Order: sequence, then C-alpha cells, then structure tokens
Amino acid sequence: MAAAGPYTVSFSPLGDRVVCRGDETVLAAILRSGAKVVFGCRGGGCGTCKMRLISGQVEYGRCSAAVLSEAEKAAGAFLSCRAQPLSDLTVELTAANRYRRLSAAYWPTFG
Amino acid sequence: MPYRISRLGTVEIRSLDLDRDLDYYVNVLGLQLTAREGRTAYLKGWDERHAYSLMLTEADRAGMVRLAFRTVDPEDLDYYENRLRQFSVKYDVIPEDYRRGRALRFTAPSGHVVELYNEMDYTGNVLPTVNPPPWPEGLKGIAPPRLDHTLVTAPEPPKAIQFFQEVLEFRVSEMLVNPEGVPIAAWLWQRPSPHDIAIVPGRPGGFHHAAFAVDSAEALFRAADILTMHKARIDYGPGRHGITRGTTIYFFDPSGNRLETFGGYTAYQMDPDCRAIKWTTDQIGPAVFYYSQELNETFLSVYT
Repeated sequence: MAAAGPYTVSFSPLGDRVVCRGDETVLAAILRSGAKVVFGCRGGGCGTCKMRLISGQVEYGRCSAAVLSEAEKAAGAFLSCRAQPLSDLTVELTAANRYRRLSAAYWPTFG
Repeated sequence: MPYRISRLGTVEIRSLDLDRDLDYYVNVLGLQLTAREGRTAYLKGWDERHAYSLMLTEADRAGMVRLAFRTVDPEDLDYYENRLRQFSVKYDVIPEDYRRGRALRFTAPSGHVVELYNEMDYTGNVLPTVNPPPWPEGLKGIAPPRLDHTLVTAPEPPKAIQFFQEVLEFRVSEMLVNPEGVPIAAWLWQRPSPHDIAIVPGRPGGFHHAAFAVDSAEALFRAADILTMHKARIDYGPGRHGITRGTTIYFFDPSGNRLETFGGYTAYQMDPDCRAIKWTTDQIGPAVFYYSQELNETFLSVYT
C-alpha cells in the first residue's frame, strides 16, 4: 500500500479541510483535526461512517460487503474508518455523518 | 416449570480476516483457542468445560451466523422438538457438528438461526479436576472465564419475545415497555442469571453483541486497561446497566462486531420467584447506561 502523502481532504459542502497522512484513515484524520463525526465499530463492519467520494482515490481497506457493496463503491461510497487516501480527496458529507467542528475556543491548536 | 436450557452454548460470529481477528480474540480478549478447521476457529473462556463456545468464521461481512442453546438433559431436546411441532415452527435436525451431537435448527421470528443441542465433547476447563487451584496462572489478555449472553435485534420485538417465551419457555427478567405498554425490548433467562439472550429493536438477524463474564470490579477495570493498551475501539464504559445491574464495557472486535465484558458478579441472581421488572421508554437512558443516564449515539444504531 502506498503510504505517501500527506493529502488534503476537503469536505463538501462545508469547505472544511483536514490533513490526512497516507498511513491513516480518513476518520482518524477528521478526529485528529478536532472535528466530530458519527462513527460506529471502526472496523469496517457496521457502515455507520460511510461517506461519498466526489474526487480522488482511496484504498478501501477490508470492509463488510453487507454495508459496502461493489456497486456502492462504484458510486463513490467508502467507509471512512477503513479508507486511506491515495490522493487529495473531495468528500461529500450528508446529514447522516453529523460532521461538526467545535469552536477554536474549545479546541486549541498545538503548533 | 422446569429449566430445560442450561446456558447460551455457542455463538458463531463472522470475521473479515480470521488471522488478524484470532490474534485479537486470543491475545487481547484472552480466549482459549481450542481448534481451527479451515475458515472457522473454535474458542472458549478458560473456565468453560465443553469443547468451545465461540466459533469465528471468515466471511465477506461481519455479524452473527447462528446461536445455540445447550439443553439441561438429552430428553429436553425431544421435549423442544415436540414444542416446535406444536407451534408449527419449521426446523431441521442437524445430525452432528464439530465435536457436537444432534441439534435442532430453526429460524426465530427475529431472523436469527437458533440451534438447540445437548451433547458436546466435555473437555474440562484448563484446571485439573483433582485439588484444583482457584484460577490458572499465565492467562493472556482479559481472559474472561465464560461466555455469558448475547443481545440481538428484531424488526418486531414483541413477536420475537413471545416466541422465546412461549415456544422455548424462557422467562422475562426485565423489559422495556413503550407508552402503549408494548414490550419493545426484553431480557430473557433460563439459567439463573438475568439473561441468556436479550432482544432490542433493529433489523432482522442483527447482532448487537456477545458478552463474556468478568468476575470482579478489578477485572472490569483491568479489561478496560487492556483494551486501551491495544487501541481497541471502546463503545461505552466501564459503566453499569440499570437493567440487570451488571457492570459493563462495550467494545468492538477488529471486524466491527460488538463484544461486552459483563460483570456477572454485580448482576443479581434469578430464582423461580422473580417476576419481570419493567422499565419505561422515557427512562431508556438509565435503563441501559445507568451513570450517564442517556443512550450514546451507537447503542440502537450500530450493530452488525
């Protein structure tokens, strides 16, 4: 697996961006940035953290075929808990993802 | 009414990567690996006396394949066969399975494949049977002594609850009732503990969790330490359930199946005089998570 990077993950329609290393998952990068998002088992089994790719490529990781079919993959779906970026990504967030960012007052940045 | 089921005997859970997950089940959860045959591994807690209680089978998805209850006596299998006929439940007779004798297999209204069996190879626990010490040294990981119970989801909980009560003669220890008085979740028992199986609303055949007993508060916190040291995904806890009073940690295996360490020592003991306890849905928070008093985002939505 290519672990180059880091890559930029941009979220539509919010315009938020997070930096994602080539060896970490999209979910891990979101949580590391201080944002919150709904996720479940973090093992590719439950499908709670599903997102849709608008552009870019990911390594999908091992996921349950019951929650991420090949047809869904072809339509851009991926599980953020397993997927690692292979390029810069643009990702569509839906209400189901419940992405939210705490105000800077509550999330200090370190360096 | 006599007790005819001695315990939840086995659960079969799917793994997305058997080699990876076996490392977790043996070294982090700390189960005893008793055999591996092709794509299925057989495991159990160190104090369990039959050949296995957990089957882990490699597949393209997570979730539960089947669950099986062990009957108290061989004759109880005939008794249940009659009941299945009486209630017109379609069933198959499975002549034998790995280290196990005859079983009755049917699909419950919850969509789960359920089996009843009596005979399984009695291999003993890991201790000697003459002058044994109280526990074995050198265990790995959390090392729960035994499988305790499972929680599954059903699209129409009242139907599934009624099936387990009427056909299989489970008793209800606790239930969650909606404002119309309809039970939308129930905890069911035959072994004298609060539950062998519980049912909550959800999709047919859904697997919410399998629970392994831990026998002290020290063991509960040690389990949380071990899960964190191995960067396991902890869903909730350490905490306590209002229902059953059991202390708990919910966590996920690497394929995303939820597991629990359940404090059997903190849960009450059942006796035949116990009558069902009711919780109302407006109190579902403390019913499930007593200390936080509210459901987390995942309890009713995340399962495999």
